Amino acid sequence: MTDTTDTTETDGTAEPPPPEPDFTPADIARLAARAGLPVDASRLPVIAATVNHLHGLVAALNDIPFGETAPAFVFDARRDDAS
Amino acid sequence: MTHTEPYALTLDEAARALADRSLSPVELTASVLDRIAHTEPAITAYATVTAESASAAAREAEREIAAGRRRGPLHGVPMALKDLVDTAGVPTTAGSLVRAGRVPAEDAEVTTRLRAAGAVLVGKTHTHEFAYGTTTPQTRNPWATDRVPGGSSGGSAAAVAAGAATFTLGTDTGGSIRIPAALTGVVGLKPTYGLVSRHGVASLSWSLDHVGPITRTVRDAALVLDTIAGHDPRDEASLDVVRGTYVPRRDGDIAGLRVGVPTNFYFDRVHPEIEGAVRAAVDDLVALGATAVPVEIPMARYVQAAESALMVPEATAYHRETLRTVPELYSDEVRILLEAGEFVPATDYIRAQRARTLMRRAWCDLFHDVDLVAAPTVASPAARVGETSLEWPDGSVESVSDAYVRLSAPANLTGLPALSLPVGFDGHGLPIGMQLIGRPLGEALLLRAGDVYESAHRPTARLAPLRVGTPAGGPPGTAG
Repeated sequence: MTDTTDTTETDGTAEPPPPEPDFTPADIARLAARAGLPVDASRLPVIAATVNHLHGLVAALNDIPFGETAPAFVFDARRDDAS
Repeated sequence: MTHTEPYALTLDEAARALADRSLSPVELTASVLDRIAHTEPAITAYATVTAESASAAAREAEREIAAGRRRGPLHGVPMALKDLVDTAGVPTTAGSLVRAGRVPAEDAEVTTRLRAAGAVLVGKTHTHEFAYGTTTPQTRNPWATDRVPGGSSGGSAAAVAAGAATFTLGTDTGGSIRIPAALTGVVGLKPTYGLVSRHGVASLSWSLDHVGPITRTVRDAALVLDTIAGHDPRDEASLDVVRGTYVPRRDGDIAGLRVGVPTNFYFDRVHPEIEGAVRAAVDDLVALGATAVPVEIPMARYVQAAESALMVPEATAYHRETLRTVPELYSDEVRILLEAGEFVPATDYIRAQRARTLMRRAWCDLFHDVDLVAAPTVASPAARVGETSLEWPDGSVESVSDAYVRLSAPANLTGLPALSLPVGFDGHGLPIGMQLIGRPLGEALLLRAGDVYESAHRPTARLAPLRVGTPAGGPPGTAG
């Protein structure tokens, strides 16, 4: 999945991208296997539903004109590693 | 019960009584331990009670104070810590079977600071499993025991509300200090991101986690913050800042304070009695000398997206190993969220971090025009146990969890300090909270404003009555 929204968001005139297709339980099974995550088949539907709900929420970020905004990670190179 | 019982004293009252030796740490601790025994059958706020070591610590505090070596206002005062905060030699399980029987070898940084200040640990309070939820199902609300206390720091808030701890600590990733504080009628402070160390505290989401006090009064929260704030190089987000005391002057005022009143977001889909109580409290602040200024909350429609896209994958990353080795030990509710977090694209996560940058900037711009923002802490009062969703007058249905997190998450995303304080009750006698949100490192101003409001309108912090059910309506019950 790639993020192609940044170049189209800033002028406010581009057509919104088509909605992404929902994950199916089979999709989750395949991705979970690839991630090494053990998931019983009976639980795949509820996980897929949760993932789809989550992606629906996060889709709101498509509308933000990010421009050159950097992420808000926390890092201070001056700091000694005291751990 | 009368409020002359030591367990009913606020931290500030207890500290003064301990200072003038009209009360001893042993008496105070014994009173709180007795209160815990009385309240636990009704509310189950505690995961572990450390009666024996607390009594020993109280005796030691008594000896030191008698010898003229009083360390400060927390010396000899009983406290409880959320079961997410490490305490050497005391079980710390994060409310999960995944960590059943875990006994840390070392204290968290905040535990170290509180012990050094002489506070007496009376136990560990229940958390929603790994802080990943807002109801704390183990615990009941002491204002009506058929209601949830909120969460995830539900045990900490319920204990303070019931007089079963003089103060506690909670953690706040999407509102987990402020939500239960509002629902149980106590004070909760989420400090500025990085002001209080999280070293030794189980993480839910590194980008959003905060540690802070839950107390009976605003002044008490300031007294605790004075002890726990400070730089810790073992927390990557810790700020190295010079600061003074957070404790407000007793003759403080808010003349000329500009209070931002949101024109969007914070009063949308909010229970009418909560809106009424918070607007009345703003009027009270104005009557005390403040000026109300309408403000538009920036980027409000992205709050839930950004909060979810940060918290969910970070939580999954934290639990990656145990999700693969002992997944059956998680509750179904938490396990599903952790599993779903495996499938959030990294690009969405990074976009949420970029949104966080923009939100923080926009909120800081807002503070050119106002000194703080006043808003409801949560949209709805304490839900009944087992209630999972609620319907708004516009016909929309919202999960209880979303209704609680919605208004508190902006302060997590921006890192801004936010103080929740009680401002009244609904018709069922359930508490209502208002949150004051301030500039980065603006805790002193929030605490001053909260203290001035509280001194004028809530001079006595009542304990919760331990009602078995929710009254049908009418005025709130009397303290029990």
